[in-house]
Amino acid sequence: METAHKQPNYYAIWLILFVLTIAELGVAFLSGLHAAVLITILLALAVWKALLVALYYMHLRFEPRRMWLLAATPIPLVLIFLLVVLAEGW
Amino acid sequence: MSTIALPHEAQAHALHHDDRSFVRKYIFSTDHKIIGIQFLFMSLFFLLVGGLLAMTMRWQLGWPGRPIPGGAILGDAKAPGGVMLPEFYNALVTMHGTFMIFFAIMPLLVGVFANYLIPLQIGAPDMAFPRLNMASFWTAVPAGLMMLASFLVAGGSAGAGWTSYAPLSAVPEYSGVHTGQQLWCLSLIILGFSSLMGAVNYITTVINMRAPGMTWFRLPLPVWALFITAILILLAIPILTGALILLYFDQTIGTTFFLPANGGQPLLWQHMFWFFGHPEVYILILPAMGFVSEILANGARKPIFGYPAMVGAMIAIAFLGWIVWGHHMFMSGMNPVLGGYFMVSTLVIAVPSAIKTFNWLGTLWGGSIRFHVPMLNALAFVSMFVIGGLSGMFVAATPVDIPLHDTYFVVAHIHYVLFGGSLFGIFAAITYWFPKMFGRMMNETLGKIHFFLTFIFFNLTFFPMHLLGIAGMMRRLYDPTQYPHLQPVQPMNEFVSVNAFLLGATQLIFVFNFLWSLFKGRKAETNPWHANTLEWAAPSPPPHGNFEVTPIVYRGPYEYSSPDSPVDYLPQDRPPLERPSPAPTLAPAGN
Repeated sequence: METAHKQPNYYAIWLILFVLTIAELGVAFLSGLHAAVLITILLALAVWKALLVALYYMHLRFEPRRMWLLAATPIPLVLIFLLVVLAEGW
Repeated sequence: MSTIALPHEAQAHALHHDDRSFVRKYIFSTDHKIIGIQFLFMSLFFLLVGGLLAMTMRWQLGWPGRPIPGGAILGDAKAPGGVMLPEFYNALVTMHGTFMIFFAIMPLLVGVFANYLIPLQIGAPDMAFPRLNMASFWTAVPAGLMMLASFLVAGGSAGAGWTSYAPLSAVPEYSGVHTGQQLWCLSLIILGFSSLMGAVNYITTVINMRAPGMTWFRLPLPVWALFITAILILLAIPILTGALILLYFDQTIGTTFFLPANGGQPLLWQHMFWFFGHPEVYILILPAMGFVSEILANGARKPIFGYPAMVGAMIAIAFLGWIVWGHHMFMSGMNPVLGGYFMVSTLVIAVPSAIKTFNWLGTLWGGSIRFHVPMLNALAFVSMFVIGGLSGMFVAATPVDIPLHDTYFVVAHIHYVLFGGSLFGIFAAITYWFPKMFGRMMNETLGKIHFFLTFIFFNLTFFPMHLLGIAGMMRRLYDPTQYPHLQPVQPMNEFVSVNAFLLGATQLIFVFNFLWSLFKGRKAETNPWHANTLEWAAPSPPPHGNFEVTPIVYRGPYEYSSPDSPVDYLPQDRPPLERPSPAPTLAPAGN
């Protein structure tokens, strides 16, 4: 769906993604944090990056609500998967 | 409201001014029909490869340790003196499953028929994204070549089974396979991109490009089946791709996602694989259900029984497919509470499956059945799917699955579903739409000989496997005779192998019929099966752009033996007949 909107600065977003990746590597290999803290930080950074890609590179930010709903379709599947895997006692 | 991509004038222009070069027309084509046919040749080739691997395995299982006839060409690394090594047997098992599932059945059902049928059956000139469609095919080819090439690398091809369970698949020292296992991951990652490109295209095309009047509940059932399948592909393939990337990292850069060292979890691979793998099972059967529904209604000359229920059952199967994956893991040490949940949720799938079976029988009931080759194969689909479904109920129940897990009972079950179900559905579909694809009919006599022999040898090959499984014969077993409890059933293994070879040889009749009919088959008329759906309104084969003018749809696809038609079919695009209006009557006084 074509909607009039200001062109996002794709290079700036690429730069942010690059910096976040460097941050991930730095946290993973240099920080010496406890595993649980490390995983939480890495997951947060990963979600941040995924949101940037979805919102800008995949144009979700400029799409109507129904496209948001479509993109959110797999989320229940993620929850089902997590529920079962966590029920394993991990 | 549906929309049309090309206006009539542009469409007519595309029809009459097809001045593309040979390469653009037949090699790097963006025409959905050519791409479908390209997928057909590719996947039939891999079907033969997978079949040859199965034949080689059956030699070893029938006559363990005896040299394979002509086996010397395999070389000393695989079969010294023609006797295959256990490592090579592992590779055969793995690659048979891999080729059959990912490179034969899946592209035959989806790559071929979603491409060929969707635009034609919804009255569109092509796919929504023709270039993406071309990219989808040309991404699948290198994936297949990469998988084939893995036979030639040092250490041979992957040998950890088509399910590639970690840690066996993650540590080269465990399986003795290094590069082959990595190529397996890379090939399937690439193939996944191909599948995703296709799925996006199919979904968009069905939603946006239906001809005027083609409402959702006038869609032919193959389109519904392929649409639902495409959604499953779109959601399931990324899970496999993610798992494969993690496995590849474990193999190559020292991560331990699936290795117990450093906190990895082998069971995580099983969860991720089967979270993809069970929807994949429905990806491999739903399209065949759609084709068979179409062909049964046509062959019985009756409307499909319970069209909305058929659609609803497919949607229900697709949904339930997401919450049952743990039934593959009852013996993995999974939490028993989860086992109970997965057992119940799996058994629930019997309800929509039974609805479909009931409706197929209802369609046949009282019909004026034409036993042409597609119809025979469609009937075989229904009966074999019932057997495969029932054995699935057995292994879905945890108390029964515990002794039968990883035995030949499971091998029998999966082959009744994927060969007895999907492949008979594919034979039905190829013989039914061959005239539209190539403008010629397949030979009916050869088709019937192929069908009857395949049906007989299929059952003689796979039914005894239930008994072998109950006798305790493990799957992926190199030499059954090394176990005392299996020595008494070895004659049954020989029986299975002989029938497997006959089943394999029977397929040569199909190959001959297919190739011969391409060039020498009787010329097909536009609508040889007297069918209703829109593809039969286009010439055989349809030109680039499909329809001279965009068809207008007036009714559903299964108006067979309608009182509104002088013949026993009523195409979707035929305008309603003018009926004489009843003589005007005066309303009774007082009303």
